[in-house]
Amino acid sequence: MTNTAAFIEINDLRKTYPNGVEALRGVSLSVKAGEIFGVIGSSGAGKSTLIRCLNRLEEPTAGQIQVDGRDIISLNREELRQARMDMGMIFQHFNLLTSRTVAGNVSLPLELAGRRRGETRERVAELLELVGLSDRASAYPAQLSGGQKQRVGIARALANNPRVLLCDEATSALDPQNTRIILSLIRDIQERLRLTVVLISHEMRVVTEVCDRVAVMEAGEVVETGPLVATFTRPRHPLTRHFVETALNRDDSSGRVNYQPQGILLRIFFVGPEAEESLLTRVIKDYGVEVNIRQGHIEHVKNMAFGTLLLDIYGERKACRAAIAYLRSRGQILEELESTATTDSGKEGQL
Amino acid sequence: MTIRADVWLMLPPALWETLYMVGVSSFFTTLLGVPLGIALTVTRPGHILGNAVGNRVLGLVINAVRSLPFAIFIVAIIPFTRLLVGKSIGPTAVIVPLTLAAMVLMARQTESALLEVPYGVIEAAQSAGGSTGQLIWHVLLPEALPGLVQAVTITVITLTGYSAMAGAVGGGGLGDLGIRYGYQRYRLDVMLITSFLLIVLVQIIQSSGDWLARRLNRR
Ligand SMILES: Nc1ncnc2c1ncn2[C@@H]1O[C@H](COP(=O)(O)OP(=O)(O)O)[C@@H](O)[C@H]1O
Ligand SMILES: [Mg+2]
Repeated sequence: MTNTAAFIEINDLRKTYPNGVEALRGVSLSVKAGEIFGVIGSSGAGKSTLIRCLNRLEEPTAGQIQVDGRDIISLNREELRQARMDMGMIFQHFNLLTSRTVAGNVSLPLELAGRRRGETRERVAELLELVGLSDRASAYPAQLSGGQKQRVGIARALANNPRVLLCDEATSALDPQNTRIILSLIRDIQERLRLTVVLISHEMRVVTEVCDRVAVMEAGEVVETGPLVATFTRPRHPLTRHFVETALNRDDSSGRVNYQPQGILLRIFFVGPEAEESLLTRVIKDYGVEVNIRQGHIEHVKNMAFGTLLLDIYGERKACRAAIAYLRSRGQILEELESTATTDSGKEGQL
Repeated sequence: MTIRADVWLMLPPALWETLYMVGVSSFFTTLLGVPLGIALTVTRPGHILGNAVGNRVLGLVINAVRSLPFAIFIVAIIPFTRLLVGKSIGPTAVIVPLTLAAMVLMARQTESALLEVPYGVIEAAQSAGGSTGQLIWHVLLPEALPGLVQAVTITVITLTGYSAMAGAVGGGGLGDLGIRYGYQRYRLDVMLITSFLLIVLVQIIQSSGDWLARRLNRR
């Protein structure tokens, strides 16, 4: 299978729960082999329903799902069991067996698949090594931190050498540090084992950290889909723009403290590896203005830097206006405050 | 109060009868009640084998049996008892109504123990390709084990209480001795000693159950 062929193909998928809630209203997506595909959306958008339809933890009401050429909807009970073994899944609340040790949890899927005991023992050791938990093999889940529990979850999901890994809000119960650790583990494993990963999250931070392509979901529908960087740097749908703004609009009040009451305070948006520097260098050189960077928020999306800068531009008033007009023409200005002395009554710009 | 010598002659057989009735009926109650409880749990809508109608019927039957007073129940099923063990009198015959009455209680207790298992854990095994039987055997039961031990403990204690009424059909046992000699013939010593032994017995069952449940609990 080549790297660009669709590995998971979802076509007009619909799910109506018995209580009448239409959780999916015709979702079509295609996930390429060997990519990390993210689905982002607010709570209740239908993300969990979507990912759970892929291994039929939820029975779709209508539509088609193909995974590796296999029609998931038409599988009978036994075929479905086999197909599920090809798709590992990890969960927001880890869902570990409290009665089993770490090793016991990881060996569960092997036991369910009827593997021999000796084979199971070897494989468990291998998997614990992979997630860095060899030294906790005989601990019980209650003795582990959230991050460690999710690593057990990952080892368990990978036990039967699946081709696909499904992640349902896998980091939503973790703190930022453990979130990063788990996400980099997912990326690492995905590359090493050439997995196809479907990851859903309501957090932009999570999606930008690991995904190659994304879909944005709202009210049971996909409103936008595309490569990660393009989707978030040139959002077309208001919801996508909302996610980007939420991710970047962090508290920058400390940067706004008025310690240099001159010039014009700007919040600018930038994309690209060194884009912010070349952009500012250009502004300084071409317009003869001074720039003072107060604060920056940089998100790294794969190899791309992506974020906002809070800065003052000062110098000759006409030059400043020209520089700002240039930035505005490039669509980079988010917010302009006439002068830092006149405080917060700035105009909100569009991305 | 004096303790007359004949007490020591009456106690050992009565104690043995109680242990025999409670022991054997506990065994069969667990053997039948736990599977019934599993059925009651997994057929709930949204559970592994969700089946609203089946679940409703099962629940109604169980509640019907539960609502009959035990003394009536013993008499009501005499034909069935005779069919099963060939007689309707004596400790062995009493095991039949004891088991049937406690079985439905055990089923409900099992159900609440199994419902304590977060459904996500079952889904995790389901997503790994587990069959229905595997989900029950490898996940549901082991995860609920401490709760199941508590359920068995309560059922055995209830059986100890029920067994005192078994005297009505010649079941014998400590309770029967206490009622016939202690209460009806005003033998205060017999009443006190049999009551004391029953209290000790129940305490031992409760403590052992608690201890085991605690040991098994890894949460
Ligand atoms: N088992 C269920 N029964 C009824 N409604 C459900 C069920 N699961 C989810 N829903 C509803 O379906 C919609 C989508 O839910 P979900 O897929 O969990 O969204 P998300 O994961 O994006 O938060 C919500 O309105 C939710 O209330
Ligand atoms: Mg969800």
